[in-house]
Amino acid sequence: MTGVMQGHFDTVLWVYGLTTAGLLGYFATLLLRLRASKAPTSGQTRVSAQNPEKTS
Amino acid sequence: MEPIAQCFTLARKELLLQWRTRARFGSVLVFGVTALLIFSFAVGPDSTALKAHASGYLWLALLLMSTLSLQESARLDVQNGALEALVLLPVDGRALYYAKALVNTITLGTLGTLLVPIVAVLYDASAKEGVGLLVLSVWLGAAALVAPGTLYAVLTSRARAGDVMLPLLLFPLVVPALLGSVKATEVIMLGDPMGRVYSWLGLVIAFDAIYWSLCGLLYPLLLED
Amino acid sequence: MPRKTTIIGILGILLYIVGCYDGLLVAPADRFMGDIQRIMYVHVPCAWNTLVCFTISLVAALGWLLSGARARAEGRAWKWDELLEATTEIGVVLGAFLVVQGMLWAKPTWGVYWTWDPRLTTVAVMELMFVAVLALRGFVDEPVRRATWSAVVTLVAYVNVPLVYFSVKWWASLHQVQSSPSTVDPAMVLPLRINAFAVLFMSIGLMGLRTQLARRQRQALLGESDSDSTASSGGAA
Repeated sequence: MTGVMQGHFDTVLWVYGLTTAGLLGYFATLLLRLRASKAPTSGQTRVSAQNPEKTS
Repeated sequence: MEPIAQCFTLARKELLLQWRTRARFGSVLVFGVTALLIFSFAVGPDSTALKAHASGYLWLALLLMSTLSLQESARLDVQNGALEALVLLPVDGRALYYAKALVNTITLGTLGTLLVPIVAVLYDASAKEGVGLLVLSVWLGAAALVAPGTLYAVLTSRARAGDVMLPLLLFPLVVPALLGSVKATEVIMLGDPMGRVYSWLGLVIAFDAIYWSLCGLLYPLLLED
Repeated sequence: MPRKTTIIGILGILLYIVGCYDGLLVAPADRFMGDIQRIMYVHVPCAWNTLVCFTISLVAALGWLLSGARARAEGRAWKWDELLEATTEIGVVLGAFLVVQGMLWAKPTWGVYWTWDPRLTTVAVMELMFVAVLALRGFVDEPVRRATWSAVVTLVAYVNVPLVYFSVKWWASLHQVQSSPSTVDPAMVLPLRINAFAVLFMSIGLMGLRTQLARRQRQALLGESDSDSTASSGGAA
């Protein structure tokens, strides 16, 4: 590493792009996992919560 | 019964167990010798390179052997329900840990000591700083591998895919101990003009001190449920 | 709780856009390293926040281990386990970014993707240790056991981080002297600081989502195996 390093702006863009894409990707998978976890659980609790009210 | 007396009683039990499963001990030793032989195939028949890296191969072989012997020693407890029975007894959890860790150290230290002559023959290694110091470094390093290894083995032997999980947890953790042991053994084997051996051994001893106390404190927590 | 962390997370995204714009286009190029120095504006914030995440994991591990039997029976201790799961995973994600960014930076500066620089090696080892925590969580089904075990492993792994750093530093220094970019010009501090908070806020936003996911998964698990514990944990939540 002697003198001033020239160029390499493409590497910088790669790093920024990959980091942003990674953050977005993780965010998206998290949302998908949350949606997948939501459906059966809330359905079950709604059914089980409604049933005793109807009988009583 | 006080914890120290408990610890020695338990250690006697563990030693007896080791003695009764000595065929297993022999197989692990043969496994280590095979590993040493395989490492030399990976490098090729370059005797100077092999000699220079002999201590690295010794420690890699010992690291691989440690997962086998640690996992087996914990598996025997879990398989026969012995661990649950021991927890029911009025025994200090720390005594259980130190007994097991002590016997695991004896096993691994013996395995390591037995590997030293094999390394000397296969790689033409010699102990320029004395055989006593070499064996000491092997035992200190073995104790460093065993301290977290005993803690993790009791955990992975009760988890699914435990045989994969033990090295996955243990290998990154023992990096400092491995570095110190490899360098200490290396300078003992190749000669130590700059007197660095004690600083490397110091690193291993520091690792030993931290993990022998920390893991002893944490082990009872893993038996609670 | 999710709403507050969501607002912080959105704030983090906005800050991140400003910080990246400032870092890429506004801040001056480094006198010696040129444009490549701009990697610092995402690299260093990731590094700081990886450590922040793992430190919160340690706090969560201690919180679970020190929680009494009553807090566990009433379901109040579960928040520690949810937090540990969330911060460990986010820390691992940030740590993975960190390693890749470091490699891409190392190639033009040092000519190789990997050097045995103490920081690089320590991050790699730390990353593996916490990946192992997540892997262990995947292989243990019983929630109390999983919480205790992962707390113990997190504690042991965290204690090891400084030990790895100093041993690798010592080990590498006997072979080579590694130069590292450490001087920071005052004009470059602004994007660095903006992005540090941006990544922190985004991590907090992600933590909110991830703890929610952890809670739902645990409740679903307990609901299937044991109806009594669902009732108690549902009442506590």
